[in-house]
Amino acid sequence: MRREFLSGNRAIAEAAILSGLKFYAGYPITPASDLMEYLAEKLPSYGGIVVQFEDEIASINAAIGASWAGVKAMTATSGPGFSLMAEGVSLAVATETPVVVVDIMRAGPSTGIPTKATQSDVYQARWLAHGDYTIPVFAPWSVQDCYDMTIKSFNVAEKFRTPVVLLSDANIAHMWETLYVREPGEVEIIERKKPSVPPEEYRPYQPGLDLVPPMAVFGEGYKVIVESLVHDELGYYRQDSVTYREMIARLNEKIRRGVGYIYEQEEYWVEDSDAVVVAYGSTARMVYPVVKALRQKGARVGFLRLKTLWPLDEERLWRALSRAGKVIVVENNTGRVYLDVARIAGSARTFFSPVITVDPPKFNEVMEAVARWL
Amino acid sequence: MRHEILIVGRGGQGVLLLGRLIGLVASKYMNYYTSGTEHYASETRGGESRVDMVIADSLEEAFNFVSVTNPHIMILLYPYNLDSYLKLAQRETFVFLDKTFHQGEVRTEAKLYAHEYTRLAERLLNNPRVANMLLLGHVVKVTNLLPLDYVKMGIAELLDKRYHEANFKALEAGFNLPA
Amino acid sequence: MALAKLTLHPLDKYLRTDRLPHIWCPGCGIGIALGAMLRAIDRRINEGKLDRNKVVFVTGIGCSARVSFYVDFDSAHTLHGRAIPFATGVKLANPSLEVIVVGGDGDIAGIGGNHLLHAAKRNMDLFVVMITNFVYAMTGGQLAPTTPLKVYTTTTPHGNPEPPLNVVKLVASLNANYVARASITTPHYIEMFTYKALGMRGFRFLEVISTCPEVYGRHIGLRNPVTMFEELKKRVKYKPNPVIDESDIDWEKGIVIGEYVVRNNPSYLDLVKRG
Ligand SMILES: Cc1ncc(C[n+]2csc(CCOP(=O)(O)OP(=O)(O)O)c2C)c(N)n1
Ligand code: SF4
Ligand SMILES: [Mg+2]
Repeated sequence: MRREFLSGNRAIAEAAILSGLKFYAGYPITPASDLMEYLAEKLPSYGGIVVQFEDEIASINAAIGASWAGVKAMTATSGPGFSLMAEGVSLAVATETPVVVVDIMRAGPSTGIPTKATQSDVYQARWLAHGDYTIPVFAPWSVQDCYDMTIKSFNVAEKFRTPVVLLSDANIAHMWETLYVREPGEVEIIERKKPSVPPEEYRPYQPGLDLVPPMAVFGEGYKVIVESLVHDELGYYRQDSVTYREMIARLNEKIRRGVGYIYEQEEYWVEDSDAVVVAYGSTARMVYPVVKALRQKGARVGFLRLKTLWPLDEERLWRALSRAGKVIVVENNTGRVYLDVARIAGSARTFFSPVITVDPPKFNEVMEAVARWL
Repeated sequence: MRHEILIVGRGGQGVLLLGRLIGLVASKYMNYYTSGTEHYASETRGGESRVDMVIADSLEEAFNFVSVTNPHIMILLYPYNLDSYLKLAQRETFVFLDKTFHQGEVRTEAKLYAHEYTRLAERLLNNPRVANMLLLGHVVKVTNLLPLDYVKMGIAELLDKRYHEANFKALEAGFNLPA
Repeated sequence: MALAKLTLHPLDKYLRTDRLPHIWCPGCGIGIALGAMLRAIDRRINEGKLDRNKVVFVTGIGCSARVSFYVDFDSAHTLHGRAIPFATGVKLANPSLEVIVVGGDGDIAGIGGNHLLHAAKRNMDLFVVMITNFVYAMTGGQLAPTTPLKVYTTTTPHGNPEPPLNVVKLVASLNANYVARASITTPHYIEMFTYKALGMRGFRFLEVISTCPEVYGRHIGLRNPVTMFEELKKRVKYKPNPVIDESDIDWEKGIVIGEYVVRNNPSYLDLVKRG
């Protein structure tokens, strides 16, 4: 482990390299371009390749193809490009392809404000594409978190054979901070499960006990079938309800069952509080000092940070929140994660208190948003 | 310890490099916790560039940092919005101003160090582009913020080898200016 | 069983025979194209120049794209229009693979047109086979980029107002190492060109003019597969060294098949920095 001083985007790039990234496909877009530029410089010396494609559609599809050729693949973008990746993300869901998609949120809708951050795209991360699915979404709040959660994103993608969205924003992307960088061997790096049977016995979509099928890749003699249509365990197209139900149930259930591994929350003073503030990402960064200041003034208020936005460990979240009389959700949007928190919080009274701003949220703004409901 | 530092200049003057250098040295060699944000106009040449940073003993003290409100050091390579930045300066703030681009009088109660850093870099080193390092050398001398040797290690790490010599020289030239 | 032996086709070894019968209509040209391609692949494999386990078929969506259902190689049935970028990712991640893209004219040149032109511009190391049936067949007969002027389709019920795209000309204008056209009425050329393309590097493009009696045949009054085949056959002319100006497809003047571009420009893999 060594200390460095890096930006959020560079931390993601460094962590991706440590995780074994070998293929990066992307299309320039603020505030994600510098991540690609940094990787373009560095990745070739690690035996990897960075390609600028003609658009984000090509980028996500190429990353999926690379993953099927047996390497770890990633792409990064922001709202407009992420929208173009929708169909590709659904292909990765259906074909159970490990791939990491980094979305550096900027202000939307449409072209929005390229250089400014909001949290307006959290539902885009959750349900970007068509189809009935669940994919993991992580929301870092610091440069260190960008680093650690990138490693986690790759691990989750490989372990569960799923696309993973790492949801940063323009504030964190271009924030420079002290960072603990890990050396190879200092952190667990997970690789996808390989088939243990010979090609004749291999059924490409037959799951193990964890509901995740072992993954043979191209060129190993397994005659792999990558199938975008609804398919059975062999990868053969089926149009019946039974196959459809089985496939959809498993795609969702494998993630739900993995929630213990995927989900993380951080609690500060939650135990003894009458009110708990829930936040995530760059907004959470300012909620933390606000709650601390309130406590110093004697308020019995706690803070819960969601590191994983989806899937939520509802049981764990409920246990943390139901003790409090009040739950206040602070987001830089018109109320997205709030909908889930309100549903899960049980008997607590829930309040949504937006801090909508394209600049890093200020102490006073957040203080006002929290204090209003205490 | 918790120091806020503000660096302002024109695109191309090496403002972002100064921020990254100070952050790297503080983080890596001095075990401080550093957090900073970069602001720049979309064009890389011209236009205001600004780095807001905080150097602190712990993560805790640096975490809620958004922008400089109470600067310990201000490095003004170019007089963009000079008056409004000077308003942030307190009596004990160290203000370094490149007079090459500002002929007028500067009114402040802060500890002001106003030199023609760029012109000095031109005259002493034949290279106006290292004015940022020359100024940093002076900052190091005056404020004792970072040890000179560590700054050199930082330069060696951040810059390509062929630029080391020129930047070391500029740093030393700044360090040799009167405190 | 003796009967089973009798019914074994020499190319069955490259097919997932358990997935037969295939979905293609009686008289559809796609099967002819696939058969010819497999014969070329078989030759390459027999000569020891191609490893069967290193062949990957990547397709998009459409009747033509269904090829990936039936080939007994590593295969990917991806998204409509996105086979080329997917295949690019595959090839760059593992350059030892021979990556073959098959798709319809809509898949490759319509929705996927920008990917086609960029892959050709990059001279990306892929072999792309486009099956031109002048229509969106799978979805029931809508306008394709190759549909001739004035032809009725379900989305141009008053006649197509757009002159067709000459895809061979488009790709030839870029940095592709190989651009050829064949027809399902002359399957030996499909085989020959495939065989040749598989021995080259860079971007290799083969357009196969095909028949779709079921959908396009209905639009142009050639509903009978045999008649349609014969009508196409009459119009197809092979030229040993065709020039690009002869490449426009014209039902009246004829369709020139042959090798339009054969060259050895450095490919993407030759030029990209790795490791
Ligand atoms: C994004 C998207 N848009 C539309 C479709 C519907 N669609 C499926 S196949 C097809 C056209 C196929 O035409 P072509 O590529 O020429 O193949 P053919 O069936 O003629 O062989 C269309 C429009 C789709 N699957 N995906
Ligand atoms: S619709 Fe046309 S292209 Fe599709 S299978 Fe039938 S004949 Fe072939
Ligand atoms: Mg077609």
